[in-house]
Amino acid sequence: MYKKAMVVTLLLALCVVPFTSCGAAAKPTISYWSMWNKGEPQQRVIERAIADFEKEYGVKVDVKWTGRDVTNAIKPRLLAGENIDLVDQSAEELYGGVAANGISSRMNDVLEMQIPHEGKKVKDVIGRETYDAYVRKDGSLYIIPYSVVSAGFWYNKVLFRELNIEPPTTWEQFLSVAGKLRKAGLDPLAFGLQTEVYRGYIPYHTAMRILGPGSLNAAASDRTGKLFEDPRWVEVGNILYAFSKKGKNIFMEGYESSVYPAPQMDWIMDRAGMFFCGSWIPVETRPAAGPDFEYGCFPFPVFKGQNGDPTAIECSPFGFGVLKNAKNEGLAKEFVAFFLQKKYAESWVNDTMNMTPRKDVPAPKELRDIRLSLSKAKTTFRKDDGVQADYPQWYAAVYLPVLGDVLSGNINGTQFARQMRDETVKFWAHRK
Amino acid sequence: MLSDSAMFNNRYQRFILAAVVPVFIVYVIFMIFPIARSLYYSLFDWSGFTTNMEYIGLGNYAEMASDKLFASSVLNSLKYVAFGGVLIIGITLLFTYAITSYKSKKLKDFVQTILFVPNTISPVALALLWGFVLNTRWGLVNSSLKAIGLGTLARGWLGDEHIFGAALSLLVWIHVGFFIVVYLAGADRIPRSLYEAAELDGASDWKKFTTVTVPLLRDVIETSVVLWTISSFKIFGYIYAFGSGGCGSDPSPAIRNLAVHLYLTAFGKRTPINRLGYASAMAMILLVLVAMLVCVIRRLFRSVERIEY
Repeated sequence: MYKKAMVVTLLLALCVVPFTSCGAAAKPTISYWSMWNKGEPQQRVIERAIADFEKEYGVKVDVKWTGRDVTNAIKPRLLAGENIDLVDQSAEELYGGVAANGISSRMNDVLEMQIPHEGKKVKDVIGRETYDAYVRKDGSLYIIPYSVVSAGFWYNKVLFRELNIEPPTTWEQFLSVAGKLRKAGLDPLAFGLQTEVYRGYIPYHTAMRILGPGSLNAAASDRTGKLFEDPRWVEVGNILYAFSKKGKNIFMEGYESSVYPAPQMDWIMDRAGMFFCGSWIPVETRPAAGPDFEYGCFPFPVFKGQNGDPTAIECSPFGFGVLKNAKNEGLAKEFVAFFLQKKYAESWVNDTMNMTPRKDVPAPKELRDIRLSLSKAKTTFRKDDGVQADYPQWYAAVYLPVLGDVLSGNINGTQFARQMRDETVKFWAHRK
Repeated sequence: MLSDSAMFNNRYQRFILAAVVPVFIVYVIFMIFPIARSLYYSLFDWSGFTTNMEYIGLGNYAEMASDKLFASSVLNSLKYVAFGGVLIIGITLLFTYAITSYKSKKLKDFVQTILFVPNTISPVALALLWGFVLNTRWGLVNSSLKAIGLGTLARGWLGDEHIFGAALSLLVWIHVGFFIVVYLAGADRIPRSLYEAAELDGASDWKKFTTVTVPLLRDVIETSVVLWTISSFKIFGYIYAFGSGGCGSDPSPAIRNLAVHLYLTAFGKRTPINRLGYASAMAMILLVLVAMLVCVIRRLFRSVERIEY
């Protein structure tokens, strides 16, 4: 009898186990590759949200904390046929690495999704300015931002008060501030020519002010080079030359060979009065800045007779992209909406000292000035006006070297415009 | 019936075959096959993200002819071969001369170890350290020059003008330490009797070094020249880490060799070039260039009279 019961139990177990395992296998698993590393404050906020999402939705999120090289890391996996649903990175890298290869899913539908427990749609909660520059001509959007980055001239409010300096709004006022700082024994502007991100900031902001957003992107792709014949490119070149040691000598001493993080350290130590950088700078410099250091930021100055919107400002967010034909596309998009809940946005601000795209969550105090400039902006533009992502080889072979020449003072404004035109024509002559 | 010798030959051949076949298979899988695949990929326009590949024939090779960054990376590689080769072999020979003249073995070992130590440290760590040493504002080199009243010699070592020399100095520092071990091992093989004969003829230490040590180190020098030539084109970690301006910047074009440029073309850092097909064509050119240079070097050395002992 005992034996019979045992056999029946075993048979039943054999029948039940496959169904149980089927049930376990059926639990959907989102494959998420992240740009953050284990232990970073940003990673910890996302990890918390993942744990809550798994509990609430009864799903699993298989997350790989890959680090900044995430778009390269997914390449071999995709080629091997592995399913990847969700990736996060800066908008430029998502557009240049993933969307450019036609493997991004449109994220427009996420804007229409409800944010869990809030009864509001994503598009009603996040500021349009935080993703507007990334909406393509056909209306497609390939990123939903969760962190917002902008750029401007950073300064120590305490220092400016001591020297009785008001943040400038026009180019003339900017030159006057630079003069006052020089007189006070400081280098006006911390700068490092050998760090690409620093090298690029001032040129494209100048171009955006003088020619307007999209002008650099259009000129980069103009095979005839005609767009660089616009006389306003000479004006851009003249402004860039003015920053150099042979122009109005606004940059710090030794800037031609200076590399990250030296310029930002010089600025934080009050050896230089200003520093043009992204809104991530308080995160990086806070530990080195004394308690008396008060972060201030003003947007790029305006020029007389400028073509563009004087309120225009860079907005290059970090966000989520879902891959086209991902097995769990819908669920991955639900996670994106889930992460935009107010509680996580607040953690993002408080724990990582970054801005969130949510309109109802204020920026950390270090970023209030730049957040205000963003809110006032009628138009936004992409980092580098999108040329690094859209025309990466042109960016590396033409743009950066010519910028190096003009910012070193080796060429003037007229030569700058001519070189940009000639090198662009030569570049495209042998390429598709 | 087979004779004993025929059986031995048969068995010997089977043994050789058994020993060679696995190595040959590994070689085909890990060397020949990837080279053949790279050659195949080099004929396509391909990002490496998807399996969509567009056949463009020799288009990638034609594009290289007008690619300024590619040309500068080849030129930089050749500059590393020439300047680096002269400096490394020259300095290594001088150290060999100095160290072989030490009487104390302990002192010899100590100096050799000190020189070799950088080779035991991660290339990235060394490259970053070198960047700090050469930092314009607070680097050890400029600070020391200022401290001893030679501030006029301080330079922006990491700027476009000087960065090639700065990178070269890093590579020379590392490779001298490596080659010194090889040269000293070679010098130790030279029979003492030759030095004693030279001493009887009244030769000075320097004379003994130039007429006995250097000629008899010919094979070692040839090998080091070949190794350095290959390294100049394919060395990666030091240049990649040293030349980057930080914050995701690509290494400066002024110091990129072909291997670094190839990697940036295939994968990029912040600049998403992603042209795996084009980078494969570069890899083919790299292979051909290195093979040609090694052949030239071997021929040059063959023309020098070999001295046996």
